[in-house]
Amino acid sequence: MMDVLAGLTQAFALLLSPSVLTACGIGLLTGLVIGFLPGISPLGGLALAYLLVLALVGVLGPNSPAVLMVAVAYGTLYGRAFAAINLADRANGDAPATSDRSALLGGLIAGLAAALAAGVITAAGRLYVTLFMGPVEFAAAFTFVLLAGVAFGSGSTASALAMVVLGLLLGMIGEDIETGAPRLTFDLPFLSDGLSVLAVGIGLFVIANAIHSYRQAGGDPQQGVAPDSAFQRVSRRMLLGVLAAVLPTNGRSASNSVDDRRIPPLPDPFDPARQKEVPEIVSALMASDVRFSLSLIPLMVYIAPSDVVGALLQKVFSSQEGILGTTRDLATVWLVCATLIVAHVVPLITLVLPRLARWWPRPIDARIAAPAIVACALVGSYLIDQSLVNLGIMLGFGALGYLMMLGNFDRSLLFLGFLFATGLEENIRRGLMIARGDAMIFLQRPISAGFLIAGVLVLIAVRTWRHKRET
Amino acid sequence: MAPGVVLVVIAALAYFSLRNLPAPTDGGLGPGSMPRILSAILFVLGAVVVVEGFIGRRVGASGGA
Repeated sequence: MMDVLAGLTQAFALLLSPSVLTACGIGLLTGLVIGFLPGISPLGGLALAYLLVLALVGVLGPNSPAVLMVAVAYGTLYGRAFAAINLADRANGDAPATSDRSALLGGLIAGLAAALAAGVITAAGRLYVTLFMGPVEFAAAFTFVLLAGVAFGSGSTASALAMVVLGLLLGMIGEDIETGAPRLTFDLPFLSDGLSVLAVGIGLFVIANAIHSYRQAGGDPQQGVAPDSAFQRVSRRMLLGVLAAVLPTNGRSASNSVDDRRIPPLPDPFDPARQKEVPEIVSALMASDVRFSLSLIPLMVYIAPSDVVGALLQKVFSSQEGILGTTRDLATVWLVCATLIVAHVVPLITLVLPRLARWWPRPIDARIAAPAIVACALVGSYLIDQSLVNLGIMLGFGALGYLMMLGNFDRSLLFLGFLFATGLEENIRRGLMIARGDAMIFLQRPISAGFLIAGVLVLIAVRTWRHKRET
Repeated sequence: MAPGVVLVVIAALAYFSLRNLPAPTDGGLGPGSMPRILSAILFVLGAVVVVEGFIGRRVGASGGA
């Protein structure tokens, strides 16, 4: 108990330092704006946050990037809810109901508890993880997350698997980490350093979504769910949030905004922007809130990120210096935990106050927002690396992402494979080196075998259930 | 069907570009091993997507019967 208090106290002291607090504020504000704008998925918001991190890393100091990323992720979530509530209120012309405010308050308490639980569980669990996890186990954990991603991803099993494999291949473009030999570069010099995470992320999720929302502008982007009683709805979704957090890829992969034509999409009780009624929006928001905090546990105990959001956060965690230089550092856990706590309170206030003041901002037309978002992303990216090639790659992935949306190929799985490629290959190679080339080591070690068997079982079970649901 | 063909072509191009990389070392994987394995898997999956698309078209053409 004293360790928890000491860790949190130290983290809040760090969070209240001017540079980190500024990063938190910028992150929350940016997230709220991104979430409010039409045509940006949560993953697109995070890709833009990554752009922001790269742009501000020299200005804000060494401990700020992870705080900024977590703040943007939360801000985006609340921004989406604010936009959805705004639309619903405008349609109904209603004043905020007392039950909505109670649900928000209940959700705040649950969200804070989840943030604290994430810190405590991580602090306790990481000791065991570092004792029992080696390269073989890490490789198996990565494989487990990818297989579970395929299970919950959109499209057929073969197409979802193909997206993961294609993502892994794209992630291996560039010089080999051990020998320095160029791979998949086709003798093009600009590919020798590999594809930029920023270019791929912004292309797939920001530009592709902007094209899609521009073309769809004028339609109804929301998909309503039949309402039921407030208490049942919130509590059921909170439980779903907890369950989804312990499953890899958060129970489904994010950012599938186009309906599956072959297999009906999984219901998405976690995206506030996909609900129509205010109580539904609030309960979806709270479930997402709890889920996000808890889903950071696997990342922070250093097993593996459980989804694309975690994988992108890991990229930021592992690339920054200072106290957060390694996710093994316990101070990291408490700083992220403190950010989660602060990130809960501020957006919630911004969600409640406009409703109490009966101020409903005018929704922004996607035909204006989409080109503006693309222009900002392109200019921002160019200012960071002054590379026209990367802009070309970004636009290319934008077109690819849009075609994938139309063809119902899961972009988040492609990006997950891309982000996992280096870590997966490195651990497989190390594991095989330890076993002198015997691949059976992955099935002989109990933890590794457990991850692999669980991954295959989740894939078969979920896909079978979805097939039965379809027929 | 077309996305499957694209995947097959990408897999074949990737496999072809890896032909000059050194063979695996003793007790480990070489620089080209993982991409080669993944290219082969992608080729097979692309072929499955082509078949799925073909079947989907035939079912669609016969009115879902």
